[in-house]
Amino acid sequence: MIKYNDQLNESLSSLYDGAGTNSDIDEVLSHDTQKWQDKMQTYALTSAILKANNATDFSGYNLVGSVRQAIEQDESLLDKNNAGNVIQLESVKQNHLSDESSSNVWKKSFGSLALAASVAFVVISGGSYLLDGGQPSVQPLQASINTLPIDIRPLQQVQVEVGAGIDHKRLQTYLRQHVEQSTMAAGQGMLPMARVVSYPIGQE
Amino acid sequence: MFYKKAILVLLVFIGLLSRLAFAQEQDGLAMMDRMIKSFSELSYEGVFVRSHGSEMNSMQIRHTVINGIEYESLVDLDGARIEVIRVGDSVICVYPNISFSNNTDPVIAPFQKFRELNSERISQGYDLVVADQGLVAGRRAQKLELKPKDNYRFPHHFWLDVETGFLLKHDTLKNISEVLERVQFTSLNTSPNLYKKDFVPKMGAYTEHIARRDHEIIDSEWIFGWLPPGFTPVWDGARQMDDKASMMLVSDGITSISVFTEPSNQERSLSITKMGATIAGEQTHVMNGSLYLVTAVGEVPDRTIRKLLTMVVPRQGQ
Repeated sequence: MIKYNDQLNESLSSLYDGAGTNSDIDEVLSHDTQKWQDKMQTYALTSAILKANNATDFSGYNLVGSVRQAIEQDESLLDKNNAGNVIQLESVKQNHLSDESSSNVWKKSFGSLALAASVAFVVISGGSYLLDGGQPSVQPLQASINTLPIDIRPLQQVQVEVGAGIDHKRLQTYLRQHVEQSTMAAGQGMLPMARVVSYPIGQE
Repeated sequence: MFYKKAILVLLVFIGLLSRLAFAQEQDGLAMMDRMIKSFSELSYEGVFVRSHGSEMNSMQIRHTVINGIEYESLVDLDGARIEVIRVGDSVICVYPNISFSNNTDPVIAPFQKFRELNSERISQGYDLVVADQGLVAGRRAQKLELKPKDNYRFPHHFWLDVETGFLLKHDTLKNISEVLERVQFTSLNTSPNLYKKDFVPKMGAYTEHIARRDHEIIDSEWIFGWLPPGFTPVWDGARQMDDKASMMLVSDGITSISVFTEPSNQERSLSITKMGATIAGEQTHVMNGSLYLVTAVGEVPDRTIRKLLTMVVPRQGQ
């Protein structure tokens, strides 16, 4: 049992350090929330304190950075022959807190993305960032039994790499319409709607 | 004599394998059917996480049926806690405040559920394999693998609650080991005490009632010259999205592809955009001497989008 808990703790720690792997995610998610909520609260509190002390270090929660890296490497190989006409939206990372101009773009973008045109609810990463004037805020820990004990939020925002001829506003509209209508055909209730959150951000 | 026996044994062996595969498929389809029913018939309350790449979001979902009416809500737990509440055919969107609402696009949200399994379409596109059992969110789960029969769709792995049939985890894979997108419950209560009051917006929140708007069904000026096996149109014709664009939708029972067409004033070569498991592609076509932009969006490999874009053609006589 001790070994079992150690493995869970090790995975949690790795994820919060941004060094987690896919197996770490699997390890954590395979347990009941109740079993790891105390530990997660401790990590979340630590992270929140660090964040408050150093607001510029906002990108420290790279939960699945290594997984992403592996996928990107593979994608870049796959798309090598199509580099001219393939746009990889997830390939660019940025520290948006250090770039005032881009933060304005984000504010506009999240506003426009905030609601799927036909889906009605959306699920926006960074919504609180929009509301508090662009300053990162420390969210209170959530301890409700029915919710995750921590405020998990994606800290590496997706930046759109604008490709030639791509109208992102139109693409957003189409993506939202696709989510709404395809959900009807998926038979999984509202779950597919969660995709809207990761769709590209329009740039005006 | 020896060869005859060998052939006989071989035939029996092949027959047994076929029966086994058929049984697997029937079991898998029954599991899928149970899953779909559970989403509309079961009362549930839980938190799920969706991840792709480094993106991760958690959401709370609740659903119950009271006096034959479905009550459902979905709350974003990571951002501004926007909530959508659905009661029957009525949808209410809950914003943190009115200014947030004013900064968003207007919402048009009919939300209907898919309630019936189309086993024929699924069988054309996938081999179903009932795999091992495990634990997801502390619940016993049966893994069901959907292996594509061609390279025009992604593999899918489902983990279904043994007790209720509910979907606990869903991986969309790029290949046998690489996950493109994962949706996974971290907690689930299938006996929640949910009442009507649980689906009432909180005091102080700004709410908007979302009126249902049906898009006009029109005869499509475009047709599919090719579709991957198992994919069929979800509705006849096309839906008029606005004064320019129209939409067609095809599905194989697991995943869908939307195709949008609209007039364009400039020629565009093929562009592909990737967002996790979702691929979008667009390019212009010529119809009656005019340029049209054709956009395809779906959770399918980019080769499917590329091929489909070249095979969406003007209807004969255009």
